[in-house]
Amino acid sequence: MTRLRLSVVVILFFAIILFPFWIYIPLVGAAMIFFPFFWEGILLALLIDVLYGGGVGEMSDLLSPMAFAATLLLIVLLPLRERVRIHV
Amino acid sequence: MKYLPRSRVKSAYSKRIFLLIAIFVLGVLFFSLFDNLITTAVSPLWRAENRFSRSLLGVGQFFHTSATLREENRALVERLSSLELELSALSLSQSETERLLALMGRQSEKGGIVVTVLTRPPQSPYDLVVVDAGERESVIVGFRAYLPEGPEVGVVTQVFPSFSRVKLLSTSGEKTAAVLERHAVPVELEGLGGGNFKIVLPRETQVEVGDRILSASLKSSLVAIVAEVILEPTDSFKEVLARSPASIFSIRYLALRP
Repeated sequence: MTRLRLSVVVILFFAIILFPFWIYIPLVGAAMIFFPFFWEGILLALLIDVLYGGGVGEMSDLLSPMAFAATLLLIVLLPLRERVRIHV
Repeated sequence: MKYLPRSRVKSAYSKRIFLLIAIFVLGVLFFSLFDNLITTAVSPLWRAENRFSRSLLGVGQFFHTSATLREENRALVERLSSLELELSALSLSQSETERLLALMGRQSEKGGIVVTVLTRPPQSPYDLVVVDAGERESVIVGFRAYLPEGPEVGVVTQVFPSFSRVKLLSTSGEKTAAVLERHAVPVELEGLGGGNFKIVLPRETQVEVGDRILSASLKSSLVAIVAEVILEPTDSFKEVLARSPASIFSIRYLALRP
């Protein structure tokens, strides 16, 4: 699982650098849902804002909107993951 | 089956939430400190990607004749639209502009720095492009960015030693003072993202699809073209949707000028 998680992070890193946003943003979101406590998603979202946004750390930009959204999503997913059971 | 006491479950959640917030705060600090370093480290990959995609296009053309013809056709259409754009960007004749500037005791600023675009939408989720010139090339914050054909597309917002960030005028929420060429009506262009703009005008103002919107500066340049006029019978205002004169998804070069 750890190796898979690490591979996904590396793939997402290169996807952010090389692919359009409509590929990498859903992929980061999917990874956050699939992996438990995917905190790397916050760092990947910060990377998106550093590379393509107006940088991070500016109050006017809500301290990186993408990372803020990623943190919120992870916080919401914490109790949801415990309560939702998916049977395939 | 054992169940954790409610208080312990809450404590486990709060610990994780605290950890996530700590990662966010530390991440913001780290990335804001090393913003320049990270983008500089990544820029060779962007350059390589640009070069690779162009060379791949060349290889494809060699092997596929029909595809080559299609590509050639596409390039010619692109060239034609570029020339049309250049033509439409000439709002006043050059000599007339020079005469006006001379009357006002100001000189025309020509030239500027031609830069290559490293990343553009849709790679970027925001209407922001990264260009390969920075402090070393004397780029400063506030430089205006123009397409090689003439239209103004953005403004330099951040400058680093070897690259700069250009915020496009169509960035969502970005407001730009402009002039509707027909009857020279001053308007405020509001960016909607993706190379689109919105203007709200009084109902009586005459505007038609295809009308040009120019920048409000003395040396006005084309900024947008009216694409749609929305008018409800009960409204006292009309909403005008405009688009950037060139596709922001295929910008390759820009000219930066003060």
